[in-house]
Amino acid sequence: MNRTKILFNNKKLLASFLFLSFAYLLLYLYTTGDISFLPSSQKFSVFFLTSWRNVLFKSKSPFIWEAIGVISFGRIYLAISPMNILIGLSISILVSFNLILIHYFHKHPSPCPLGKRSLFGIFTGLLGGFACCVPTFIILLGPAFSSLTIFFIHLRVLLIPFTIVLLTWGLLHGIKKIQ
Amino acid sequence: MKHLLIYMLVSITLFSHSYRELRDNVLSGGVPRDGIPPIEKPVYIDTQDAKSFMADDDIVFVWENNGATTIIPQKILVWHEIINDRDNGKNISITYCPLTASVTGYYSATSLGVSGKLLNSNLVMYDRASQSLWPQITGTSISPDTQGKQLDSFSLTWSTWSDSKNTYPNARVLSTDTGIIRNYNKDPYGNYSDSNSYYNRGGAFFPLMSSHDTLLPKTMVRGLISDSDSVAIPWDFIRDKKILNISKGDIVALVLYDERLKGVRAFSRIFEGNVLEFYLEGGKLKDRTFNKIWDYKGESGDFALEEYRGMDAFWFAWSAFYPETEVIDNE
Repeated sequence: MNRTKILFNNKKLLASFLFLSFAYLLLYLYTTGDISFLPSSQKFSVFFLTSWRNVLFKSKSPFIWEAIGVISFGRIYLAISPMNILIGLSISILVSFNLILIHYFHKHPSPCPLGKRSLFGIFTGLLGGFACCVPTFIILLGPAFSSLTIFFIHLRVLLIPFTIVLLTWGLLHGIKKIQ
Repeated sequence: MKHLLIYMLVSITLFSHSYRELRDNVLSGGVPRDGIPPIEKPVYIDTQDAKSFMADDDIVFVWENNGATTIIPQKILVWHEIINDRDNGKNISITYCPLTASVTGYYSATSLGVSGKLLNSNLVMYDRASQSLWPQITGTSISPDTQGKQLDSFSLTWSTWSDSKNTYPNARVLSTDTGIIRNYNKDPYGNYSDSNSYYNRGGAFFPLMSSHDTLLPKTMVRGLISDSDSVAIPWDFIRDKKILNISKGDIVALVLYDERLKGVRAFSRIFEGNVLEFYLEGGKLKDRTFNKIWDYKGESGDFALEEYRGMDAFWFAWSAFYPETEVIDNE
């Protein structure tokens, strides 16, 4: 605990941590489809399902849950899924923690610096998004990448747990090395 | 004896694929059962109210059911793939698979769900009572206990919001009040008007049981099916010819281009024991036997032609299910 305090006593690192967490959360929610865009600008509006309890824990695909409401403003459409936000927030905190640790070790070289392998988790966490039957990133890349579809459908069940394990390992390993 | 052999063949195969082969080729689409949630309690509104969320060139599916007309926006159905509803005391399911661009209606015993599985990239539905699997394009069960059972179908016509509301100003329109949160302004697969999107470019995302390069994979065709024959007619050819009198094997059908909806329709040409031949005269659809004038819905006064079984779909999907299908693209 005292070791993490060393990091967060540095206001610059704390600000970076908060910014990175927020940015990664937005990116994560974009890949899950919870953040999307509207064709034209709209007034601020909030809508929640009256039957929200029925869908709160309803899974759309592995590690992605239904939204219970929506907030829209300007061209932004933000579906509110508490479970997706919880998972996204957890991964975001782990990602940004790992990143500021790497930054810390860059400034304070240690005999056994944090391996950059944990950074792989930053990318795998973004590959889990699904639009109907096809991974979001494959749709974004286009039909030329369709041959990857089956591969990622089998892999994606493991992506979120793998991401969390990898980032947690990187974090614990890094914290131990703080002097 | 011949009929017995045909019956035996039909009971173990669906055209050239055996039911076992079909089952073996079912793949996970990566989503759980009803992870793509069907609309269970559809709410309909009038065309005036629907203007708030519809744009003129939005694609819609038009269902004409006994005088009432329903307009179903593609941008809503793409997120749900199935609408379970009731019509005249019967359970009906309107089904759409965005990966194969196929839409059709089925009369179902209970209600249909989205299994989360795919066959030839096509939605595999499941019957909620028996849990049996039914590929959407064939409407035929492939589960061992019910294999070969077929759902009765009805057609929907592809159109645009502009054309459908001008043709049917009093129609009811499926609303966005689906009980599920989705951004109905965004199609997860792209856009039909974008030549670079999934709908217009490349092939299938998932493996196919057979593929044929007679046409480009994403060519839209009207497929027709009988007990032993199948044909596919490209939309462009139908649009050029306006009407086609089809006689291929035991398929005896009229395929026509509906100028009002700018969509395709197909009817049986067998009417009261006669095989009718149709022609256009002064923009009117007529038959040579009775000299009746028929409208786009295949009706002439109290008389009506039977809809021909089949649907519109991407070529790659139709030919994957019906590999021996004949393409009709010249006369």
